[in-house]
Amino acid sequence: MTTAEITSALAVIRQETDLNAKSLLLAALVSELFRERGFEPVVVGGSAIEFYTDGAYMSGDTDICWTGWPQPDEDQRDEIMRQIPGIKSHGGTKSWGVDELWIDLLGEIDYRADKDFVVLETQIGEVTLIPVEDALVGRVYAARRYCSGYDEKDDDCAKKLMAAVLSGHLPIDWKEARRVAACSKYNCVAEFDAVRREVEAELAKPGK
Amino acid sequence: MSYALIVTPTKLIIKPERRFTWEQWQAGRAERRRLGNLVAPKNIRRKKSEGDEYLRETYGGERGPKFNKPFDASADEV
Repeated sequence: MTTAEITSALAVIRQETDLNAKSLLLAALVSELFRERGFEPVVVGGSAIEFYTDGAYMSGDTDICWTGWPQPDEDQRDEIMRQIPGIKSHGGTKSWGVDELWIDLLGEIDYRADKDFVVLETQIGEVTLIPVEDALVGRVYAARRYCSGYDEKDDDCAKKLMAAVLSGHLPIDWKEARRVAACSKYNCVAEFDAVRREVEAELAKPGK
Repeated sequence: MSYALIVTPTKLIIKPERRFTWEQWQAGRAERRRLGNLVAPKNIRRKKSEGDEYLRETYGGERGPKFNKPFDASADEV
């Protein structure tokens, strides 16, 4: 992108007051800048789930990982991000502030689903999201299997994402999701099935 | 909305049913949020997390700005 195109994209981002849409547009700008240099950015974490659910979960930052090869080194991250006028960094080349939002540039994406990423198209560019299956199983694991035991916020997050997929508003491969839940990283098939049953029961209540 | 600025599409193989235009994404947001609110509280943002100092500095002690969802003001009710 030329400086003029980046400035035009920033103008679109600055006009947006809806946090989820604004974050998606900023993720699109950053993704575009890295993709044109040969990298494949993928949005993960709470902002990915916010893009999927609008669940009012995300904070003020968006986490970006990388899939495939090459992956940007620190110098490349710095050079690419500093194309954005007015950008500021925090903590080296990890966290970047743009127009009161933050982008965290992380490492290689750690996922188990069979490469079924989701792409959201915006006027600024495409945003690739972590597969729904990984996002969902990851939250179930964090809520009910992680070492600290039960985490209410992660559980709420998992339930909202489960509600979206159960109602057919997001694509999911259930067989693949259970395979991911069964992998050694998560080992949470029972918990995954329990969340599914609980959300199905809740959605089936009269008046819902 | 124009997509003229897309100059570098992803090289990843994306199934057609896993690709959404901006308009499709926007059209489904309110309903996905409504469904989520049937099974969990309206606002589920964490009150704290590790390494969130720079977020709090940016947002006056909070971890993020207001959601300002155009279709559901309750997202910002705590």
